[in-house]
Amino acid sequence: METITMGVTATEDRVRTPFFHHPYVVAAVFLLPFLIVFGVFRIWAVANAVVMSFQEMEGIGVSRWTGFDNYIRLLSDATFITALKNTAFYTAGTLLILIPLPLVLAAVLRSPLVARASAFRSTIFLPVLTSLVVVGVVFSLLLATNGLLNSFLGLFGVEPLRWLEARNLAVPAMILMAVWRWTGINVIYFTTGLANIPRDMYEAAAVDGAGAFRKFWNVSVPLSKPIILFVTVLTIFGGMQLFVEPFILWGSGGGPGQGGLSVVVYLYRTAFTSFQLGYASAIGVVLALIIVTLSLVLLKVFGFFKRD
Amino acid sequence: MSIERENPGSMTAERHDQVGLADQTEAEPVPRTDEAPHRHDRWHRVVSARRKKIVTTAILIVVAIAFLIPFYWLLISALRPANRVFADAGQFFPTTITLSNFQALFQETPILVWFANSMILAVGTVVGSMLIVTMAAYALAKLDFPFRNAIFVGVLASQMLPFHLLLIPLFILMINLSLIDTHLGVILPALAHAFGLFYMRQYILGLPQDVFDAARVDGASEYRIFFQIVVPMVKPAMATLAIIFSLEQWNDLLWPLIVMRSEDNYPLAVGITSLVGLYRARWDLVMTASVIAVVPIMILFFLMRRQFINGLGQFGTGGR
Amino acid sequence: MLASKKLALTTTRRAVRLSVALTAGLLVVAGCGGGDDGGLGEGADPEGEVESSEMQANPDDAGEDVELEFWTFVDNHADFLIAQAERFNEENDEYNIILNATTIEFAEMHDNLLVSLQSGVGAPDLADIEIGRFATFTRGDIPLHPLDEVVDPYRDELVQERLAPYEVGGVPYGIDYHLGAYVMYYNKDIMDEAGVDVDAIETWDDYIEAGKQVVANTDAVMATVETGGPFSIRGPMLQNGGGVYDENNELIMDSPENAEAVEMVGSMVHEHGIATVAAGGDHHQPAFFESFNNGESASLWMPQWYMTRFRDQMPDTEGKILVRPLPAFEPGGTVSTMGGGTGTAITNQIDESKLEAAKEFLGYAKLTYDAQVRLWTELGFDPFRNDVYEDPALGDPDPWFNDEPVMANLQPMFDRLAPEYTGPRYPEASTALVEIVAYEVLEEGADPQETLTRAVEQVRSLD
Repeated sequence: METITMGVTATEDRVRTPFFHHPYVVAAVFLLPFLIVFGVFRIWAVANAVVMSFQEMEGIGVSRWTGFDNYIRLLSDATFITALKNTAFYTAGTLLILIPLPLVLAAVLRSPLVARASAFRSTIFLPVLTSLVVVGVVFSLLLATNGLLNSFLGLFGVEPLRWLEARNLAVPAMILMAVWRWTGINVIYFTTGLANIPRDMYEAAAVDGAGAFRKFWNVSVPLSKPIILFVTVLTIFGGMQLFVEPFILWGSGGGPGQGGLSVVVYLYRTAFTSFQLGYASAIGVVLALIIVTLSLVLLKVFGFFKRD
Repeated sequence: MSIERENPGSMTAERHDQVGLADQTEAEPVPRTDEAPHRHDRWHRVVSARRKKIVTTAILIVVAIAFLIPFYWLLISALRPANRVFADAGQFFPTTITLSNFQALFQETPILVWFANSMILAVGTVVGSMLIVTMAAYALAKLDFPFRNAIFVGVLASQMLPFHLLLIPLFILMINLSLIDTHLGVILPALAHAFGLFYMRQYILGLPQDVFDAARVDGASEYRIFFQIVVPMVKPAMATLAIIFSLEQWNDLLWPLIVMRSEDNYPLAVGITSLVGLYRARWDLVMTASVIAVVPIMILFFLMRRQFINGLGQFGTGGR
Repeated sequence: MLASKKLALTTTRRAVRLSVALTAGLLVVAGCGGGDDGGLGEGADPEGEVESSEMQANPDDAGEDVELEFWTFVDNHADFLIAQAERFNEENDEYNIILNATTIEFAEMHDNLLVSLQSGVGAPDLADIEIGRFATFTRGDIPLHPLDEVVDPYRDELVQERLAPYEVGGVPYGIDYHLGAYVMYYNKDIMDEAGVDVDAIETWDDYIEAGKQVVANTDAVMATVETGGPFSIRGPMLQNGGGVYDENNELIMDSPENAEAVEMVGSMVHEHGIATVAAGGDHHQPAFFESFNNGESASLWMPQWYMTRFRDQMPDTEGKILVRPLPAFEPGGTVSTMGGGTGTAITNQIDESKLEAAKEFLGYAKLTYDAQVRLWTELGFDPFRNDVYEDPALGDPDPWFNDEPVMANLQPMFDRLAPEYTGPRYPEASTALVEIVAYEVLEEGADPQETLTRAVEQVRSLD
């Protein structure tokens, strides 16, 4: 037969049991293990949550349909608005720092200006490997008013800041933790992105007389667009789902004067302290809608859909 | 494509080994073939380039130290006498150091059992998810069937709901399946990893199409193509996923906490939080156990720094 | 084809190395874990501070074996109840309790328990429920067993006020580990330096005057207050006849008594300048332990169980801490109230056949004379049974606390103890009390009445 290199068994199989070689059957065989696990442990649970968001329930089994009541209640819930504001502020803050800073760092680290760049990359990558549960308590010491961070800032004449006690510093404190934790991975993402930019683009820019800064701005940044997009979406994802950080810094999870209260912390409280599962589900659905909308708008603005 | 970028032979300089690339300079390069009309000018430029290098490196060293401080703090806290963990928190260099916290940790907690549980969960998740994710990714990337894109988009979209919302339905499900307090109960929901699927699909899409075409012309079945061509070719991507999956599982707290009920089934992260009592937190043990949780990951990282960094870098670029 | 295979081979090695490393680590660890098992859970710790959560049945003990699952969020509670179970088994011929205790982190334990009880499966037989969370479990159909039978035989001896938080309609559903009486902790060194005699402080006005002396004569402030915790304002609120709920389960957080108490605490910070916000925002933050240990503040009011924190986290306070009643609002007013607490409950998922044994054990473990003495000797908590305060074990002078018999000194306060009640939205109300009232008044100088009203509105909006 036509099979020479691939041996005979394959063709025999094919003749004997053509059913398993039907294209759709093949696809099903490959896809089903994933889809079953995904369907059972994800879709089913998600569907459950969405259904609950249209119900009022205190306790399992005790529920009644209330239509959009939960969603209407959300609109006038001052605590939810506070949580949403904090979360948005946090996400914006992480975006403003965790995109440009790692991008510049990645570029600098690829230049001949730096000795032992990889050792540096590894060092700032270490926080990515740990969970906040593990280093969290250390942070509450470092951020204390008489802690190390303020001593350091004091060298530059900054008055001690009350990171852990002042409402308006709660989000900045969490952003600091995020910067520590995620700079390393974003540097790696951008380094890989920059490595994929063809060398001649820089050479062409150099011919045009571009200096280091212009090369960075006119070549590196625009050509890193897909990776910047990816990192942005990931950052929004992580930022909007802020949860562990406030618990680590303040036992209650709300932070000083609700300054650290995030949407997911509020969801968690509603579900597990008040046990209003329906309302909690509505919070979750709204949060998911916000994330999806943000991501779609972003992808649209960046022209992601045009490529495919 | 990423495989070509691998350059195991290049040992020329530290900075090359990260992504196996030549240094493309964003900064102004030092001219090598210079006609040197003014020797003085050239000398000046070399000096200023060196000075720039020293300054940049110095700044980066300061930044690196800043990133290491929390780890240093964790370590010296673990080495302080139990009741001085906070009392001496202002001392950058501890005056008294003791290993008694480690001794207490090993005596008072089943830390090694927790450690083993973390290992079991990490390995179980990696092995299981690698198989189903790769198979599904292949189907989504290379096979043709109805609703292919809809399935893919649906999987990604459902990932955007906060996990906390799913806790209660999932918990009830686990009870019905009798999976509470079992390793399987922790592993199963982690298996169908949507981002892993996304990454693997992109990676497979990037494989050269002619290999598949050639095999199909030769009459190879899709199963054969998968196991004999795809699997060998995606091994680097699998290594990346192995790193990501094991990291996530190692550091995960919420779900294992809900599933695991008996102390002997706790993974490390859960065990550590169980030491934080409301009326009497054992901070000495918390710090010490945290050191023990961090160290193996660090060792693994330094043993396989390239895989970590290359792999995660490619994860970010979607396998391209 | 060939090329790509070869290419793949070079990269395979990495994947293999990864899996080898993981598996090797796993094997090593599994080996250690398996071989060393006996030394881990049941280790023989010379100091006796072993966290042994699994009990073995002792063949010498008579009676029917009854295995009980117990969840807690405090290691010491687990140790204590296991020790009590061993004593119970020696003395009791009918049952032989085998207590399997599990310690889980605070929030997670309560979440797990709530979910398990609500879904009807997976809950333990016995569980510790913190006072701030207790009401979450007593809404609607209560998934806990009434404990009248357990409490009634001892009721006359018990400090009645301590039962109230765990009662619904007069029926108790949980039994605490301590009274949790509020006291004032003074740093003697700083007080001496300032020339203040703490025993002359009778009212809060006296306290504020003394505070001015401390601020004038020393580097320390008189007190720290919590903006991230409830204790600094809730104590005085209760003392002044307020609190979150009254005895009829009515939410009274916005009462004038509460506003007055909060106002008084706020004046210490803003008007008199004798108090500051605790480092980190509450009295359990690492930063606070550090600052109090270093003598940056002279006193704080917290419940009795806070005594253990000085020993555990603030070693340089040894010998310096004076434990005194709270100042009163007026001469002769209440000088203490209660703060915090944890009720041990029996869940409705216990096997009917074990219920009697569990009740008998719980009464023995928590309410007998010996048990209450051990609450102090083994846990360092203040017992809530009046007659044990005359026990010699509670009369020992404590070198850490200025060689005073701290516990024996506590009892005279019990006649002047303000009660605390809880209600259905107590957990949410406590959160609002902290995040709205304590923070805005103490940190930002907001109007107490306005913030209390707003907090109450927020709690009411939940229903």
